[in-house]
Amino acid sequence: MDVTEPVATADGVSKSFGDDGVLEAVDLTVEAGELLVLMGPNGVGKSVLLSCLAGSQRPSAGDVEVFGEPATARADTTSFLLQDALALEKLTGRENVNFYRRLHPQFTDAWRDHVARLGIADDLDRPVADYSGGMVRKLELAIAASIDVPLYLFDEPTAALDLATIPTVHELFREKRAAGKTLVVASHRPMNADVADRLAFLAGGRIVATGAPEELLASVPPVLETRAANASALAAVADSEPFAVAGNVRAVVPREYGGAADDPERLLANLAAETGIDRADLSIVEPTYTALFNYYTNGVPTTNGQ
Amino acid sequence: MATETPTTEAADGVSTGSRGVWFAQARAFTDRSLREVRNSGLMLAWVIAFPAITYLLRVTQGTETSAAADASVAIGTGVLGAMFVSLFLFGSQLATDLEDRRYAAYRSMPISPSAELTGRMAAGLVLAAGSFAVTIVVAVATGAAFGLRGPASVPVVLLAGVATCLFWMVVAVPFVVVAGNKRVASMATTLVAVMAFVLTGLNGVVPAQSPIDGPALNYLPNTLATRLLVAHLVPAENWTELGVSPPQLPTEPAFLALLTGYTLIAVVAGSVLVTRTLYDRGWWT
Repeated sequence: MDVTEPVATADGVSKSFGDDGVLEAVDLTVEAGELLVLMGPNGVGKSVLLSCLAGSQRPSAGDVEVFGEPATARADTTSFLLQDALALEKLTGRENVNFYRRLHPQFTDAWRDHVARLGIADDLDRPVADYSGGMVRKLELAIAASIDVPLYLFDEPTAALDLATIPTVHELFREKRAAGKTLVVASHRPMNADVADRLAFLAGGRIVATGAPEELLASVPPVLETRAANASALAAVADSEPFAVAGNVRAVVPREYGGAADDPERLLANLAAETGIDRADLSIVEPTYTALFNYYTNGVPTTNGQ
Repeated sequence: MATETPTTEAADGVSTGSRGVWFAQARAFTDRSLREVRNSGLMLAWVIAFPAITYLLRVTQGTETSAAADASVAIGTGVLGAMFVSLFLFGSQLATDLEDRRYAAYRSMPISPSAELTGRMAAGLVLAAGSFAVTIVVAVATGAAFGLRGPASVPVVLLAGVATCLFWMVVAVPFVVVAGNKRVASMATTLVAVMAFVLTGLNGVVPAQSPIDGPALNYLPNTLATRLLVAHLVPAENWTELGVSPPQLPTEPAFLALLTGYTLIAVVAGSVLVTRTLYDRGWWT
């Protein structure tokens, strides 16, 4: 395959269900061999966009191509992990694996390694109905990752997983990428930005920003932090809803104060005066992936839309 | 743009040729459907016991009847069991996949819709045969008398049984698609089975209890198959005495051809429905 050609493209893709529009003229390119993390809050249309890329849904408008063909034209180039849609709860974990092993001609024995690393090997003979949400997710991830295809589409692969398992999942992603595979991972968890080669933020039915994580992180304005008790006061001046981090609340510096960012002391004093928050309770911290996620998905206008 | 053909490292025991893949996919759905029923003891008991209990309630509460008459009723009730499996069980498994958005995943895989339908139908046939057989065994144990008319009866009986199941499984598909909800689909398909049974006089074995004109009972899919089974499995000569006639039992070859036609139409319609509505592909794959 020519590595300079995109693996998948969404060109002006819109999708609506009845009168409810979910995607509006989405443009997205997935490059060969990259790990693209598609980020956005719940219900914003990440799963719908992935479904269009997987060929399991047709867009209401626009075109989706995968390996140069319409996404719905062939189904042997992608493995699509759709949240809570693969596992059959009346079967055991092993019976589920055997079902998909027979169903998909490109299913490999890699499932044995995946279930062991994800810590569910000893639970395979239990009915999936008895699994926790996290165990179901692990089983579905093991199944989807065991299909040998050039493009993986993973919808919320770390949802419901305990924090200790997430590095294992990231390691699995990196191994796939090292093997020359392309991955698109949809997530609402900022920590998944850490594994990305490139991020794309979906908000309001559109891609509002794309870029390398470090580039996008550098584009985030300074972030204010204060005690959780001051959340309402902070919300009164912030451009978007403050977000909680380790017992405190944070919000990016409001745009009207952007010019004062070079003088943090004056900025904090002005904000303290306007909000009524004690100056000692206000500080400026470095933006994190959580701030990045909130900046691009929580009411901030498009700054780098593709 | 160049297209990469994925390298395939097939798992143990799964064929990779196109025909082998088709059979593996059909087997996947058969195996999965049977295991789901086996793993749910209540569902297995209900599917197997429902027609047998219905039969026992009928013969123990009615007036004293002959062994041949009981056999006819057992066949009508056994066919109800087969219809119940075909409509309710087949339909509810299909509805579960639809409700759980599993078809969004299936559509992203190189699955043959005909393999899926064949696999599901094979499982339905096995369970329907089991349900029918249990009813017959219970009937024999309580005094009903059965007997094949001759060697030629074997293929007719098999055709009638298979045709009944395939037809009603296909009938379940539009109910499931339109309902889009497992609970509604289950209720609707169960209602269809029971209504068809009752309105046709126990699937045509007691025409006097049906509001439908007698001759029509030899043409409806459920009654035609049932009355063929009665003709070939019940050792009786005077059908009027048994209450099975009129109309005369459909023993002419034309009725077999009609049943075969129903089966073919059902299979074609089922394939088109699954391919178009569930896989969103062309008319036929």
